[in-house]
Amino acid sequence: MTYDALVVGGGVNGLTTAAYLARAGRKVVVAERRATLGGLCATEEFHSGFRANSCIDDPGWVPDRVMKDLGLAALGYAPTLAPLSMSIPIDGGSPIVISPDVRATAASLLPHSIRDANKWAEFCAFVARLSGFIEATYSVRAPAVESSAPSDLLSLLSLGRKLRGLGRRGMIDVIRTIPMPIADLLDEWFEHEGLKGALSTLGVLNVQHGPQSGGTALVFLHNHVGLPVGGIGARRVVRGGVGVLVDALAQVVTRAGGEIRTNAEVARIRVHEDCVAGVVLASGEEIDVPTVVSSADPRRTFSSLLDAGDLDPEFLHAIDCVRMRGPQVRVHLALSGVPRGAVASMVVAPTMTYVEQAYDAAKHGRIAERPWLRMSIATIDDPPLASGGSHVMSIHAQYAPYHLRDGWTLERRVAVGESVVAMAAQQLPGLADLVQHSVVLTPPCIEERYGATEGSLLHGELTLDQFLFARPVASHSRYASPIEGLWLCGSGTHPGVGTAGASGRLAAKEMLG
Amino acid sequence: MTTQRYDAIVIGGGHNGLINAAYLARAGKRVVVLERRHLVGGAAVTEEIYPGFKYSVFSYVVSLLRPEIIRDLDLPRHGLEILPLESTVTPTLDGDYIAAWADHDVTRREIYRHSKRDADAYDEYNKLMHHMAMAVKPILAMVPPDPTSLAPSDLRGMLDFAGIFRALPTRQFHALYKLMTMSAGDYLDEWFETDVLKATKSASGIIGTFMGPRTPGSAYVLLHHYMGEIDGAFRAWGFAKGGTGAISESIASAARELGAEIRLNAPVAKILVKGGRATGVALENGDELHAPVVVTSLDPKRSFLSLLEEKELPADFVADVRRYKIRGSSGKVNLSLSELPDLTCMPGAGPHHRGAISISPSMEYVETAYDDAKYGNFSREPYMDIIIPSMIDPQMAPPGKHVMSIFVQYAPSNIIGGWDATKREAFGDAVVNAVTRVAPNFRSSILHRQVLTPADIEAITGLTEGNIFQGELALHQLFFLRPAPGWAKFRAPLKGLYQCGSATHPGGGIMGAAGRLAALEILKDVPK
Repeated sequence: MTYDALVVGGGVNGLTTAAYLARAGRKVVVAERRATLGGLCATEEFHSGFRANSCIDDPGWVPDRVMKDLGLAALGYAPTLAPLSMSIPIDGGSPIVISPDVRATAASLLPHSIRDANKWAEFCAFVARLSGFIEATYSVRAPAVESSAPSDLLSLLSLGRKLRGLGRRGMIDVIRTIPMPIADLLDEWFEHEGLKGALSTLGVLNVQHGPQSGGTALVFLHNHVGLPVGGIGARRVVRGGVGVLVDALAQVVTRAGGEIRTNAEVARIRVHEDCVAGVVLASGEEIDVPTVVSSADPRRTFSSLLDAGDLDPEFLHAIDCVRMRGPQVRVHLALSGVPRGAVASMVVAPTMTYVEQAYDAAKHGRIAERPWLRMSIATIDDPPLASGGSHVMSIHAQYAPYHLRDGWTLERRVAVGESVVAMAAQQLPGLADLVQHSVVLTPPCIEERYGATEGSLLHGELTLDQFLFARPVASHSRYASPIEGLWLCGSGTHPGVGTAGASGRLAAKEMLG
Repeated sequence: MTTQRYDAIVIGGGHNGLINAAYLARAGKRVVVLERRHLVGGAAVTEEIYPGFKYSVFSYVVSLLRPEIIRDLDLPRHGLEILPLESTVTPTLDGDYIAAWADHDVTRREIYRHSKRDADAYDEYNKLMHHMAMAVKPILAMVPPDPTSLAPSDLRGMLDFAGIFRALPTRQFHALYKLMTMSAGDYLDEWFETDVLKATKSASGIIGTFMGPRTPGSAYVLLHHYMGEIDGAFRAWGFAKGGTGAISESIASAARELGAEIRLNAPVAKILVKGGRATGVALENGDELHAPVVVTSLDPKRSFLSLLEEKELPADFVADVRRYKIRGSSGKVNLSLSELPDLTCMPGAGPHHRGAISISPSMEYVETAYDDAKYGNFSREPYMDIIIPSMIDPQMAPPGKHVMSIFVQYAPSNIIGGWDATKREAFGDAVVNAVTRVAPNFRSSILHRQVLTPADIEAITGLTEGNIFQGELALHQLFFLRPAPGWAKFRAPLKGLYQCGSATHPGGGIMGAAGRLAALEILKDVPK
């Protein structure tokens, strides 16, 4: 069997690239190391009769182009915005409920702060305006700021024009806001500590930074790309779990003549005279192929799938410097029922100081004693994920850094799981009695199981220095690599995670020319 | 009540105010500088707080004073003399040290002692930083264009600005982008492995800011060290003979010679506004001075929120000034000593006493110092930059005695419960304890001690929150955003009113660029 291209990794971006290549008539094979497709975007059974979104609850924004080109809606991928996105428990008061309904959210803020309630609509419009601009940069490949080629200058110019389109104040808002700490931004808008605490988590989600770190405003805006006005912290609910997107993409690939192989781990990419020659699978099988597209993260692709001798040391050093740093622990609970007072999505982050203090621990290589939590009970919106009226709860807790001063051990993994559940139980009395089974995924677990370096769900922190033309590294931000025939298409490239399929599509576009 | 007429009035006699006045006077304008205190200099003053002991009370080193200013105003003839600070020694927690000396080869050998890899990286790092600093330096002399404007001069300005970056070789452009966006700690991690080396270097990235070495945005200030005139040295800092006040005195002398009038003990109470333009100022004693041009060297909160009334300014400008972050983060301790500190790691008197001693033994130490401040406390174990001015200029202390200047971070202006005498002394004690740990004879050598908290700095100099840069040097407060978007060209939303302080581009340090650029802008606006 001969192929035109082999895609390393059967996650969302790998499958998207494969789909585009297959539809363009290329003979494509996808090699996935695990038995199931999806990578970090998988929905899997973690306990008999209980399925959960393994790593992420929301596949992110699938660009309209990808939806349309690949006909994903017809294949069953139809996410809806949850009417209730985020509930913030307030000690001794009614919870704040942030939903895409701007007026309802303002009403829920009213008992806590009249000022904040009055500002909510304006804030929603502000976020939509700024993330709308970022969205525009996500639909095209990263601009080459230092290039003088006419096409690059033109795309820079068009970006400039889009920026100008925002008007004077809008331009200033973009330039000024992106490098800011999310804490400063929220302080400018709101006074209620609980509201600011919960919103600040959207600025530090999956990155090892605190609300006072510069550039976390960008993370906040990034997390709102593709959401409608008012969709602050909104989550896309996919019936059947996020894996439905993966199934749809896999169908596109196979229908277009592509081949998908699971349990097929690529152990090494063979290079001959700076050109790709093929791959060697973990089983020892060799596949000769002139083009390899890796949806694995840049560190894994270049530092472990290639021989160090194949690459320029300076490039390799730049790759080694890409900050991955998975800061989160994920806990899945099989529940016999819904805890009293629980809703589909809840955030525990009482103040920005609380979040900052949790970050301090990670900064010094420790697990936060009091992490912030995002708890979701997927079965409330999607009962079939668990059988027989049972429920599934997934908790994202931050921070539990990959680089732990004293290293990760089994005891620490168990202990962090227990303390996360105990914290959740403080918010949801009775939770402990409902737990039938639990699974704890620390950053090293995620690395081992899903191959994501340092357990980073982002394939590299999405911060200003690893953004746009600097993602994953400034010398190679357009999917091509220094090795001829080797391309990147994963979340580690522009625009990255949270934009499902955008990287995959742009990579395929670059390859097809 | 008396009234007087001038061509221009400059509020504040700090280095930027004085430089501004000198340039205006040089262009034949009748200028008066109004200084609140009994001496010129603002935060750049030398005072004999205790008989025979002269302190550079606040700012204590200089490196960035623009050479064109030194030349234009002929400052050496007016007494300016910069003596080099030649070394930095950082004691480590295990009793060792790392040092950087004026002699590059000696420094390399010293780094080699700690890490062969770092010694190799050191030259490469210096070269890259030096090239970037040289390339970026023209920005210091630029009037920031307004990116939202389509006026030809602004478009040209934006092209010039972009051109500076595009002219850089790709590798340097990428490194510069990282410097602008990363934390000092992360940036240095890419280069070095010796923790104490990184700690000492990153400490220079946090001076005067409310950031830790791991806070993104702190890497940019590393570049400033390479913009000084003593090119390529590990620490291109100098000390003014006679203390920092001598710099201010030399500028004042030049300004006076050019015809400027400098009034001391003349605090301004109000900027006078008539028909939508600034027409002069009222002093606290009731005197009024009139001029078609009023230049403020104060920070924007003081200029716009306290010397003017809100209704005299556009609402969105006032909002922008309100959200401009100033946050004081540092304190200063000045001491008279009976003898030199005897460092455990480097016993006896030696050349290290003529340079800086940095208390930054590890990244963890400096970061933890920041953590204290983040939650409203002074650092129990602070980062400190120590120099002994009397070793460089013996006139600063009586024979056989010494003065010591300690820059201390962090001391947050918004300390929980506010600063008071008890907290000030506790803060001073923390400093003395930390120095005594590396030099056991230190505590008993202290003859006098002056502890300055951010609240003291504010009370004496008028700098809001005691912030030495008149506002943080964070990415969202630089260049065309400094101090407020649309008002970065030294003008203000009132006709006839101008800004020339460190809160304008290019920011803090004894650089003088803002004072000079503002004067050049003013001269464009007023008839010859």
